[in-house]
Amino acid sequence: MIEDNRKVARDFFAALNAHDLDAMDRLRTSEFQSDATPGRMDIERNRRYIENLISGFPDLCFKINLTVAQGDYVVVDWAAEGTHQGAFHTPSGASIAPTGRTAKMVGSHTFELKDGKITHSWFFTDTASLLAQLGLMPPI
Amino acid sequence: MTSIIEDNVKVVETFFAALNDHDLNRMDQLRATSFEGGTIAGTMNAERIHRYNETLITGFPDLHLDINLTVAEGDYVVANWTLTGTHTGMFRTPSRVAIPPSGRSATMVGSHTFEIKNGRIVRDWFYTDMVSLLSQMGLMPPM
Repeated sequence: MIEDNRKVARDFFAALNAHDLDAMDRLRTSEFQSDATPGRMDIERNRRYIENLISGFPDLCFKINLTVAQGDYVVVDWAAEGTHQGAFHTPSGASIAPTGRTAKMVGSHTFELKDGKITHSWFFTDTASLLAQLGLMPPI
Repeated sequence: MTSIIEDNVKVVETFFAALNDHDLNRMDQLRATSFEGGTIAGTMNAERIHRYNETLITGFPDLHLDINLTVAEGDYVVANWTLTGTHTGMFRTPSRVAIPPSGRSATMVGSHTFEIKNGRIVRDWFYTDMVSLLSQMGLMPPM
């Protein structure tokens, strides 16, 4: 079961890299919830959030550095890279015009699985690092 | 007889108990001599991490972390946490910018990965959103 869960987590990132939102939806239960800095999102809100991310960074690509799996949980540590070529909206709706800059980010996703699908996810990354790389705030 | 995974989780629980006690020396004892810590300011050895945590505790003297979840496999333990603290002391950002006390309380969430060998932490790194902290301190608008 742990290896099945790990495969779902890997498939999720493969679908994200392919920008295949329908494939991502198929990996999630209908009760899916995401918890992150922008707040709690259901499957529909999370889909719009990812659409926005892909429109802002059309070449967005994630690389998995490490997976840690136990019971119903899989943690994925990742590195991502993308070029800010499209309009990007912050969670509060502010629009950030394309800067043309490339950003490299690291972060971590925790997935909770139920019957082979993702029912809850949490993700952690430093938005300050992203904004600094886009030239939108000074490095801290 | 406990498994290595249970022992590793115990090391991580002890790490956060020591952090909540602001007992930096006890935290040092949990790290291997070859320890490397990944932070948003780059990789730090045990001595630099010690000073970095001192800065954090000076800025937030009531700093407290609660573990929400641990996920452990092989040499790795991941702990997802919620941090609370009140900014009543001088705080320095990872790049050493000094931020005078704002008196504000902050709640942060983060995820911390530990690599453990022979009962000691050899590497760790964490992810948290500094925008969340800075906006709660009133230093930047919420995103």
